[in-house]
Amino acid sequence: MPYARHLPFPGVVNERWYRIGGVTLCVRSGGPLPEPGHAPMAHFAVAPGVADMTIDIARARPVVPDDALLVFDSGAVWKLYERGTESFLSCSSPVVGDPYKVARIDAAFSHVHIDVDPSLPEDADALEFPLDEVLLMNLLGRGRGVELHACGLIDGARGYLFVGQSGAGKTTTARQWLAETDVTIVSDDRVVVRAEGEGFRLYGTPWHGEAALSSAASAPLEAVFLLAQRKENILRPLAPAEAAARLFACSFPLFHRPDALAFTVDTLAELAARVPVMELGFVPTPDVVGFVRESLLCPS
Amino acid sequence: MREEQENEVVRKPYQKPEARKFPLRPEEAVLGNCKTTGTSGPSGGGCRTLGTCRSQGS
Repeated sequence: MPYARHLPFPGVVNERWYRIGGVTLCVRSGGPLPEPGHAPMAHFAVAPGVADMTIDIARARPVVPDDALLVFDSGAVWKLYERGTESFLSCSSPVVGDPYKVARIDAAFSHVHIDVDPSLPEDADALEFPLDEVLLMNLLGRGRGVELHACGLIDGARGYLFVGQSGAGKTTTARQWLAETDVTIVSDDRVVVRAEGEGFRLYGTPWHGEAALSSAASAPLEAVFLLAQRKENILRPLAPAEAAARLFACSFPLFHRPDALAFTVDTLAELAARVPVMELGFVPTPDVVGFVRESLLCPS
Repeated sequence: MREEQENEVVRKPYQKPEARKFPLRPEEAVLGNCKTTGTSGPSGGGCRTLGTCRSQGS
């Protein structure tokens, strides 16, 4: 049940609303609420409405209760604990602190309270990496959608995904399409996909790659390309099973929740069944744009 | 009899199931690291405290 806009929160002096991947976030603070730490977030600002997740930010010593159980360790910057129905997302850094912020989250992941170490600068962005993205991963994994490691773009009104792990060529692909007219790059690194009607829809995110390309735009997903650098431009249609497996390897699932893992696998299997998924072997030159467009117009 | 013959015609040749592995990069899949500095989270240096880094492992 989303938190309604009208519910009171004592002490709120600042409030911002964002919509990412079809999910609405309300960020509130009893003190100054700094500008988003990265400019793309501003593109995702929306008017107040009904939030899927309300996030309250305070400056207080971040603590994970002693009796909370560790349920997931990212191996680096964040850990997730549980106590009863509540979760505690702890963010640490050898430079900034261990932890320097802790988010206490309710069972439905609809309300979050973040304590940020008061010793940090007042302009510190409490939602900065990894917290914003981990929170969204948790919202998506609860039956909403999947975030993919991909460059997403909208050509006219058609959405295309170019999927691949680090080094596959996502930013290169984004830059090649950037020169085209009527093309919007929704991200060169992270894209959300959600089932919509008989098909799927892609959504831009504020989380970009090296080209810093980001947009809140969305569009029906018309085709998916798994990137593979080759000596020639070549397309290879993928069987749904292979497509789903390779997409899963480029997703951000909730490994600690069997139900969310099953949802992610099922969603990607559905995507592979409904949307053409191809391996795009490509030479990193602008010619690949024309190659892809021609292939879409005249599928072999 | 006729039905059996028709079934013979449409039957696909048997293909032995094949297991294929596709690599998952755990540190990328769990948002584990900063791809610019190789360090975890806000790292000082090029970062503006908790500011503008969007270079998480990707």
